[in-house]
Amino acid sequence: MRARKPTQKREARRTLHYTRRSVQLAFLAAFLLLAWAASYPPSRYLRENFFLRVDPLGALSAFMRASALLPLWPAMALLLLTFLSGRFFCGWICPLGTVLEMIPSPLRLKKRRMEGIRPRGVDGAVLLPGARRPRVKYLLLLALLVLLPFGVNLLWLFDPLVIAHRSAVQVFTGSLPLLFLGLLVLALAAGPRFWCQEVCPLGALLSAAGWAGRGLREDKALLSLVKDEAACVHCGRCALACPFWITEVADTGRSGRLLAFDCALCGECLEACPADGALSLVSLGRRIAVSTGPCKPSESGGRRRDDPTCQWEGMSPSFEGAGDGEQTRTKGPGRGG
Amino acid sequence: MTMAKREGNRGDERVVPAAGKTGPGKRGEGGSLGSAGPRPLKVGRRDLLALGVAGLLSGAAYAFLRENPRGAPLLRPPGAQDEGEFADRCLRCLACVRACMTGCLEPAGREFGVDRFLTPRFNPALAKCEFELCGRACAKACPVGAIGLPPDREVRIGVAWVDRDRCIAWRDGKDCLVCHERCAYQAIEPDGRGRPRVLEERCTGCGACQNTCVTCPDPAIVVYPASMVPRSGGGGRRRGRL
Repeated sequence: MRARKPTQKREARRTLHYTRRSVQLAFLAAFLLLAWAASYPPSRYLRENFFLRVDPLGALSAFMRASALLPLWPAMALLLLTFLSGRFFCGWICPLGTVLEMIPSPLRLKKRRMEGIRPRGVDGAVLLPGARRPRVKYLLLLALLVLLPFGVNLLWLFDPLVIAHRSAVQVFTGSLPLLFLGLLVLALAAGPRFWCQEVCPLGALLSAAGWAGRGLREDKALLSLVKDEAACVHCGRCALACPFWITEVADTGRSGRLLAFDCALCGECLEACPADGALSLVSLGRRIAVSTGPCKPSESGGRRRDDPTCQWEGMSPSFEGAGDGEQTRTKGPGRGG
Repeated sequence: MTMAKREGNRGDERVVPAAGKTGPGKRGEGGSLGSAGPRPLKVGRRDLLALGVAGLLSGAAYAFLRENPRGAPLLRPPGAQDEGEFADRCLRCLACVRACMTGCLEPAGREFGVDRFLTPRFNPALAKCEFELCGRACAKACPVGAIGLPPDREVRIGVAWVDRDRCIAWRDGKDCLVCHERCAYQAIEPDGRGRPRVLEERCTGCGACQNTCVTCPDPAIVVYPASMVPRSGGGGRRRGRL
């Protein structure tokens, strides 16, 4: 049993977080630079705005009506990479997502993230059945794509890269990017990544591309979040840390590559995880980051009740019973069996 | 993490052993197994809010962006696809507006309606279009090819039209041929009495004449899209205002 010092753990945790922030800010800076440099005279080196070319929705809309085939390869490449890994674009690259993620979220919203998780007893057994949710963004994506051939192009309202680019140009030229400001307000009111997770049609398309690649195992996938259910103590911290409010990581009962198609592979859950080796980011079978912490599952499985740092973190009322050992122990097997 | 450990699933494996085949539209696919029996579909607050946001955005766009038929003529960047296809294809990312050398492009205002709001508009009041000098910066910036790259001599943004009720040469008999002097295509020639006339077959619609016209506050020579040019000169039959 390897015991790690908390300080060591914290250092390890910050690494991935800051790496991702740096990557995000670098892409945001590149995006703004490209938008800025697009003014006359055209730069010798920054000829094209790559972000607009890499947008599969824009490419698709152009392709559906174009007589000539446009250079679609950047968008195809993004779709292929998403197929091979997941929706990493949203967590690491998307400039609009980066800005939205910086918006502070009111604390009361934290409680609501836990609503999607099924309560578990101390031994890890599920107490109540969970519910499926209709996902509006897929309906919206479908509606947008169906409307395209009829000459109704609503991508200007919903495509994040178009919104971001237009907002940047509007700021450069001194006019007010109203839609962007509206999205900031939405992020304040409903959570930083609400737009990305529940509305964004590009996010939905990338999620669908990730879903298409669900058959890939973690040694074949370019990037995947891998869970070791045996090491998990079911504390729920991953769900609280997730900027996308995904609860699958906490909720799943399986080991191996997590097939949460809304997951942006940002690794925040991994950093928040107090259980040694329960979550890891894996690239082609090679671990690139792994959760570290003092928590170990108890002998019988599930979380140890003696260690307060490994207890259930959830704040939803339906979970309060789950933290109470006596209650859940009697309840758990009854429901489960 | 060993393979044995990974496969030693506990937890809800006991509750439900089989993973249903699920699509991305369903919650809890893959790793997160359902409980015994089908999981109920529950519309949550976030789903309603997402529906509301999407509906509000598109609803507001259609409600508040009504086309104003008295709006100024909508000129497109040089080489743009014909209007219907252009409006369909344009993503309204404003890349062309950013790229323009002379700054003659602006995002179309709300008076052009929801189908054209924020699409690029060539406004000769801002500057003339220098499509022969700038290397078609707008066309090269467009990520979806809504602006094509025809040869220079085929570019026809619009056609200039003299409003004889406003033009001081026509109305007051003044000695003004500023538009004639400014035109690079010899498309504006004085008639026998020194009044400007537009030779439509030569005009490219570059907007130099409109940009330079001295009549205040609105210019007396205006570029119209080729399909919108008023039939005769003036006589209170102006189709637009600027």
